[in-house]
Amino acid sequence: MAETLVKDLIEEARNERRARRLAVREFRPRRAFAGFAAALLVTVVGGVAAVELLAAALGSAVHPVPGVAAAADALRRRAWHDPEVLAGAGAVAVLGLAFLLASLPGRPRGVPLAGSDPRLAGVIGRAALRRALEDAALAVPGIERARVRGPGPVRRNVVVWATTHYRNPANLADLVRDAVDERLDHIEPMRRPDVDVRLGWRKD
Amino acid sequence: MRIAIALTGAALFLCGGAALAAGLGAFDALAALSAGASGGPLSARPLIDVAVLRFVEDNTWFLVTAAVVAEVAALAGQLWLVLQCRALIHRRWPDVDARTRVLARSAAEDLNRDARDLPGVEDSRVRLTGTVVRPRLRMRIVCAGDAHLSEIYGELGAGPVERYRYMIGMPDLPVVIRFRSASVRFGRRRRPKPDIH
Repeated sequence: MAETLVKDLIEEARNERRARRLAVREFRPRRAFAGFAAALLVTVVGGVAAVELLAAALGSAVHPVPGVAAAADALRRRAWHDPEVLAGAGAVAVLGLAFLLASLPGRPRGVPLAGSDPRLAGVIGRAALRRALEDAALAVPGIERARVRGPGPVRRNVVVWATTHYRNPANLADLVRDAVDERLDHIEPMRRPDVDVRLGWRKD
Repeated sequence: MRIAIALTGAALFLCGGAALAAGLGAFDALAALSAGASGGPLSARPLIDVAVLRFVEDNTWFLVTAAVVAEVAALAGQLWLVLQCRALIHRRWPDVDARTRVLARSAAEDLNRDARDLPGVEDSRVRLTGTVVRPRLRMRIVCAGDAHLSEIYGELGAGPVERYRYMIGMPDLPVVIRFRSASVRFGRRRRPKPDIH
């Protein structure tokens, strides 16, 4: 009995881990544009270089690819410290840096939902999550306005700015926190954020 | 994909950075040590220097090796492009046999109907994507703002999605569900004013 229970627990934990891995893989940005640009660049530069180098290796004095003769002539005339060369080198370095930054994992598109099926991945959009939490805060009697800032790459908590027309807010902040928590229970994100409520009230 | 982008970026960054450093005179002292002061500082020399041309003429293997490396890079780039285009096309048109496609179409209708019957679900769309080796079912569910998402997600996974897998004969088919709110507005929200008659 106890052995079955432990096995079930281990299996469930493993399934949750696999479900999380599927969600991360599916909802991570694909960087399609960066990938396409890098592949095109490697193909064009590699192809042109291969044709030119093979022609030179075979002893041909002609440049088979149009425009390369003029470029080679310019490279022979310009020194490393020429402003044009420095600008070109800087542009290449910046492009490389952009590709390096694009290769970073990035944050998932949307907020993944918790689940224990390793073949299933669910996500809710960040705007939809914010709106759902704002609706929950507005449902608290006395709350006039509500704005929510969702979890980000650095900050892990949800910040709710709520405003009431009451002069004495009493436990309104706790009520807003409970309402937002309850809505988060309905949504069940994979990483449950803490809720931070900032309440504004009438001071006159 | 990400590793290939990182390698391309690193190569470009190193080449650009090295050229920038050479132009700003960072390697002048090093070049003077190795070749003496005969050619002047490295930053003042042309990009295609006489010394480079002489080295290429003396070592015939260099051009052939460089050409082979460039050819391999060009072929790898072409393969990478083809793989990306293939993945892009198969996101829209799945690479599965005709029988599976017909089964998937009828199963999708059932799945959409079952999903729309769940409380809080307003619309549902599904699409089978990918290849026979790596298939995916992508679902887009539009829900009411106050819908019980975790319940809908659990119900979908336990019932309709499992039936879909069974119908098309892919028991391990990964399913990706995107939930959307029926109406998403941005900015600060206000409680709606009550109607006064």
